[in-house]
Amino acid sequence: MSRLIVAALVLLLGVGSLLGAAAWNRGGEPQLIELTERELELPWSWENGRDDDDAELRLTFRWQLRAEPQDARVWLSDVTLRALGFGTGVPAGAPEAEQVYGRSLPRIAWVAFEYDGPAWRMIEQRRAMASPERHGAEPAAASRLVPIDAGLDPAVLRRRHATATTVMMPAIVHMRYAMDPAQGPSVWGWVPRLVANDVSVPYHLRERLRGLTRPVRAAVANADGEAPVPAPRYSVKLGVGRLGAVWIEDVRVRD
Amino acid sequence: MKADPRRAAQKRADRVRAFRDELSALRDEEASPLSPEQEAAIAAYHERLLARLAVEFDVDRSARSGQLSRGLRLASFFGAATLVAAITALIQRFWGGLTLPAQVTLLTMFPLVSIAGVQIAAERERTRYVASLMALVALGTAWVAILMTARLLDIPFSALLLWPGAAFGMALAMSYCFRWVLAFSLASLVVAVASVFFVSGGVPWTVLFERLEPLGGAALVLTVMAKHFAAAGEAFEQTARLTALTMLLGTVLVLASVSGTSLLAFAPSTTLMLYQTAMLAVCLIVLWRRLEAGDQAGVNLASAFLATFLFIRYVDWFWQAVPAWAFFLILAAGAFASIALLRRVRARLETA
Repeated sequence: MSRLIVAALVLLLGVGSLLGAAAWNRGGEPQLIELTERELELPWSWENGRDDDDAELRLTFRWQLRAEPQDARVWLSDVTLRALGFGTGVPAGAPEAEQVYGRSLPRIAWVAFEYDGPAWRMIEQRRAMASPERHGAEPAAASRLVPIDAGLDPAVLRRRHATATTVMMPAIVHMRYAMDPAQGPSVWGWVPRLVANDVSVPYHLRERLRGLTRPVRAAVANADGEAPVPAPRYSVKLGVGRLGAVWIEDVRVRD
Repeated sequence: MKADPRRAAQKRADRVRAFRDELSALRDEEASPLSPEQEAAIAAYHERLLARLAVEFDVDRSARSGQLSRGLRLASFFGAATLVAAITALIQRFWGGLTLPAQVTLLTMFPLVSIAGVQIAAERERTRYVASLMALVALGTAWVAILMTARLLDIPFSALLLWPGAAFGMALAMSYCFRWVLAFSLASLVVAVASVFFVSGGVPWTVLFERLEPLGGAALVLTVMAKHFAAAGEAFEQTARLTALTMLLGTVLVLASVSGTSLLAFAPSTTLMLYQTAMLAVCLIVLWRRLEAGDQAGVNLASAFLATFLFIRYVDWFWQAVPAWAFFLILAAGAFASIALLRRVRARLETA
């Protein structure tokens, strides 16, 4: 048996380390923010009538990608991209730009997300001006979580954006290159993924979300093309710890 | 080098079987130099030897029982894989209905119970088929425990999670010489080591499956280090070498065949050509070294990779350029040429 004790101890040590890491993550001064259904979405598999009600429940993050080159450069400038470790020395118009930026490796960085703040209102205004007829359908369901800054040191970002509606989370930043026939070549950064793209709902909070299903987006707009404004049905108090791991503190179903 | 006693016993039993077959053929051709008394004495000794080896090591005494043993090994592997799948599906189905402490306790219990199963099975059966099945189940459930615990605690899936899984597997493999467990654990160790390259540069570790040089580098290190596993057993050295070579040759094969999988800053066509040359060189070096070492499994592995590489190159270069009939005719001509070449090599070896 002694030969197998080492294996058992390694396993216990591994699981113990995970519990320790989770405890350490939640210690200190965690960031807390209240988000809604728009930012933390129910999965399709939840309350879908199948016999898997006891499966775990995880809410998926949604945020504004800001993937258009001009908007992206507002918050993710060349200086910021260089600070994250990206090379930006090759001009977008250079012949080798497509190969250099197309093969650029993604980077992990801390990204400051602002919830329902000036950045969101700017996006909303811009969209309203760009296509006023479609404007009604989107904002109600659209996430109001907007990336506004990025860096390698979360403490610096927290100091720079010390508001109750801003939260720093680790994310994966990519470089993109595109050739637009009208506007010419562009290079910009964007955040297509968070390091943790979803978060589990603890057992004791899960029952509060019973009876809610994920809304079908196409059904949001009415016959006139103008959407009713469906208010988020629940809000979630989210914590972000020292390691950047997230967790749910509380879930509140709105009236 | 510490020889695996069961493998040594099986080799001895195989030699006895071959000796008996040849002696029987010599007797039929009336060319046996042994008198009936000598033959009877040898036969009696071999019977006693085989009986002892069967009791001590449960060796296969005939070709048919050898085939059955291979079937048993396959069944063990299949049984372990399906058992782990069943446990994982059970976890996912009922998981949400349990509290976090209950979930973590249960997750940890699965591999611990499997470890106890390994011990009980190893004490009761010499062949260790059930023990190796339980070891694979322990390894699978340990990985489930580590990954699921991290998921429950909302710790993102990172390369750090590979280390405890690999360490557990190594410790488990060392206990009773479980070769498959060692191979899986070494493969995850290679991935964990390769991930350090990207993580230290602030790049997501999963990029190592898109840009393959660090993975190949870690596999090369394991190939060089494989001889040190001999201290743990003859079988371990071979398992470590085969695992490392599979990963190394597989990595270079992908680098030589798929554009955009390299970290090198050259033009994609230049990089491909570079790795095609490297693949040929690596395959030939491995073939030569394994032939020198008399390692049949290593020779087979390198030959298989070389054949796959040459076939991919051939298809890539000629499928569009020549008509289908000529394409297959050239392949057939290549096969005949290789037969002629191998015959000449064999003749030279026999006269040497």
